[in-house]
Amino acid sequence: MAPKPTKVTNRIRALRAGAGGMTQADLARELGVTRQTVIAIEQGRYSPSLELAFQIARIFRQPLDEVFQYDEA
Amino acid sequence: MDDDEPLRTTREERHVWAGLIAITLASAVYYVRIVPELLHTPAADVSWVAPMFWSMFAGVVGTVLAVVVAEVIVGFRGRDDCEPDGVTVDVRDQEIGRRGGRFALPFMGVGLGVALILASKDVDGFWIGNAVFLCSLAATIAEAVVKLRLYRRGF
Repeated sequence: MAPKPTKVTNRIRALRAGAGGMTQADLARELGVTRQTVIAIEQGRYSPSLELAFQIARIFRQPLDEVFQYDEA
Repeated sequence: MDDDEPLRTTREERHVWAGLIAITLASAVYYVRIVPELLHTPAADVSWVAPMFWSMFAGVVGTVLAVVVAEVIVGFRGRDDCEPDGVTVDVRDQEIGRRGGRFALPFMGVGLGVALILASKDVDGFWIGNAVFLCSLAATIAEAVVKLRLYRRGF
């Protein structure tokens, strides 16, 4: 498997599960993006813009660094 | 919908695939038509204008047809679930479009530069037209390949 192109990791999948089983489609709808974009973010294949990252954090009512982490290793 | 499904193509990615395939094929047909003639005929006598314009026309029409076919297939498979509320182009598509476009510009610049140099040397129009055509083709392919890599590999 190819290495992930970004060092940004996230807890979106866990947060969705904790939010009553929110689906990727639900999250995509709230963000106004395609579901493939949500999948790409969850899989670490797309680092979202700062604006999109804040929107995601706001949907889950979490601070930004509770949703996204920067892996410096 | 399965949350564990692999990353599938968006509509924009399918459009990139359609354009890459159609334009590459149409250009290949042009070169198959022109190159053998060029081997036996002086460049000034090669009839290249009509085949080139037909190739460009075929590339555009082929892209449109390929897009329609792709969307019909996706529709039949019930794969339009990736676009909630009709979102077809989002921030990721736009960012990939910008990054891909940056790779096309140098090829276009080279094409224009070569055309200017050839024109200043009074070189036959065949070479000028084909230099621009080749660089445009290279730009199109480079842009599409970069976009597809960004869609698949991520960024």
